[in-house]
Amino acid sequence: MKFFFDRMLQTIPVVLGITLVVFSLMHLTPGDPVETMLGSVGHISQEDIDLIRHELGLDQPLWKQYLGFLGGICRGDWGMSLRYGVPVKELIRERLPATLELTLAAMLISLMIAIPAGVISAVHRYSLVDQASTLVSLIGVSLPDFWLGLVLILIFSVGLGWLPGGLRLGFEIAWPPTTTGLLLVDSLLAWNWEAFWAAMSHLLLPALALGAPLAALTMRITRSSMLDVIQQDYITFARAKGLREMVVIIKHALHNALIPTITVIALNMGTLLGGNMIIERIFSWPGLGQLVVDSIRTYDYPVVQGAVLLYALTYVGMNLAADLVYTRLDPRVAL
Amino acid sequence: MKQPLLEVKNLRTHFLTDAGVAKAVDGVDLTIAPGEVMGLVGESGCGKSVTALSIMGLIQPPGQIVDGQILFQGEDLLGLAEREMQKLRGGQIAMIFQDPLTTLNPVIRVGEQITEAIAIHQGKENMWEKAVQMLELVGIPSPKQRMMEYPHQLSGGMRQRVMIAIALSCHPSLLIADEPTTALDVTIQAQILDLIAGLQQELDMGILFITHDLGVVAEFCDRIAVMYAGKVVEVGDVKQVLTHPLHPYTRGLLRSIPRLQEPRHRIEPIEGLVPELHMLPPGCSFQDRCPLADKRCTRWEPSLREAAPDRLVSCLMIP
Repeated sequence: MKFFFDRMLQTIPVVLGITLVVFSLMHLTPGDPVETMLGSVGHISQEDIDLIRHELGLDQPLWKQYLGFLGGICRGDWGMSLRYGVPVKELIRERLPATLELTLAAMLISLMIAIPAGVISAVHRYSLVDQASTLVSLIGVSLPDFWLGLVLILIFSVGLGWLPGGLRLGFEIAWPPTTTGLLLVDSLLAWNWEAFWAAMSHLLLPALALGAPLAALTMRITRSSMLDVIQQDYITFARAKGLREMVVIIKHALHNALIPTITVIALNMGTLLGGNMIIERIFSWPGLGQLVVDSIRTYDYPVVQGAVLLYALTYVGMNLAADLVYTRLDPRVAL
Repeated sequence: MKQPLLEVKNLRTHFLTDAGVAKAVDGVDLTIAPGEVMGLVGESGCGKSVTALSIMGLIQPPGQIVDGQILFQGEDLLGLAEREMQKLRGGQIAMIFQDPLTTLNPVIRVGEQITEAIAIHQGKENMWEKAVQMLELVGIPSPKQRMMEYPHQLSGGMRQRVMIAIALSCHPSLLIADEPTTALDVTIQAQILDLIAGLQQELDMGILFITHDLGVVAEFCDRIAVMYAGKVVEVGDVKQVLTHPLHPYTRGLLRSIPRLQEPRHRIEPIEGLVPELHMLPPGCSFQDRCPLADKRCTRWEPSLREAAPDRLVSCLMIP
């Protein structure tokens, strides 16, 4: 438990540091939210602008604004969006499930491909299967995700017309009642198969585009750590007991080989969230990433700060979770 | 004569590497009678462990058994399907390894590692009780508690005992022990040897005991086989071989160990190095280091033949 507590404490400066960096960057960028807001209104006097700035608290010194932001967070108040005039929390709550669904699907797809592929490659080292999956994973690591996204749309929606190239659900399908916000889950809960399959077909391409680089990386790590593990004495000993090869590989080898893989997966959860911004844009996915990009463009400071804080917390949380999973997988790491 | 427990005939296990074919085991002949302890000695890299793994059917690519027969109770193991071999492995033929620190799976509880072996060969009935009994048998205190622990929570000697418990849990008739005491310190070594000797009597197992420690062989084995560069060069009764070695390599080996009884005795190492296994010279592999070698040794490869009663030697220079 002490291990867990120490790790929790360590996350505090990390999160604080991230908020400070984001806050400074946003405010140091040339441009002004009020001017952006009023850009289309036409002629407005400097007095009016100053008044609005005062109302939004933007005339305060930066350190006061930062402290105000931190204080708000502590009270559970993430501020109001400058552009929409609604609480940041509400905006995020609205958009988060879409992003979460996409990220989880990408993660699931990539693990389902990568771990078996990595294990098979290691067990049949230098075979045709190994060389083919090595080649595919090299391509996967090297391809930029936006390019892959566009190509997938080009092939599967524009060319073949098999899958939709954007949005979470087509316009012709009624949304299931919102319970979790995750469309797949909601449609299942409502027993609405039509919506389920539609949501699935919309999810597939963006999840694939987002998950491909992670799949490639995870496959490489799984392969190399499996190769290392299957040469260990305890694998030979397991075989010498008369265990079937399948049991040796899955129970004795994979369990040990997954330990480094878990770290990579956790660290990449952050990359997935970041990658979301581009993929969401390409697939018109109404998630957090799109919201952040739009908010950066319009200097909507509170939204950007809130979203980045959430990213930071997720990232830190995933690392913490990885450490905890570690202790489950490897008894030598003490809690 | 009774049917031998294990009879290895002309075993050849080669490794196809980039540097060429490494003939790790190149024509090994061995016979072990039921209940007999056979010591297999030789320098590191002479093919002892590869011989053991070949008998177990655990040679992994790029290794390959290219020739020979391994008769276990009269049945050729090399002709068995993998499924049938799995039934023998850990059941009739068990193996323990050199390093207890790396031989137990670090992420699986001790109890699970024992019971999984019992479950395969004897069924799941009472497997937990049987495992506890085995731990008791190998002298582990509070075995029930140890069952729930992970290998890293045990000492080196304790882990070696666990490994022995796993290997013996299904009462094998042949145990292959690959340097089981090399990684342990001397006092623990003696305990483990005593343990194996005691269990050998109790279970009447044949043992192939691999080591490079001639002292251990003298104390523990009935017969000895000396290996050099992938071949067995001398076989015989332990006392006879150790007191009257015939093969020049065996003689060299015995001269190269320190003796307490003769304080002024100088250690004489064998000159030269073991030849590379993928570049063995034609003729006898020991020719470059042999004090007796002449032209014949570079031409003809010697084979094991009876040089004295119950003594096989592979050397052209021994009459």
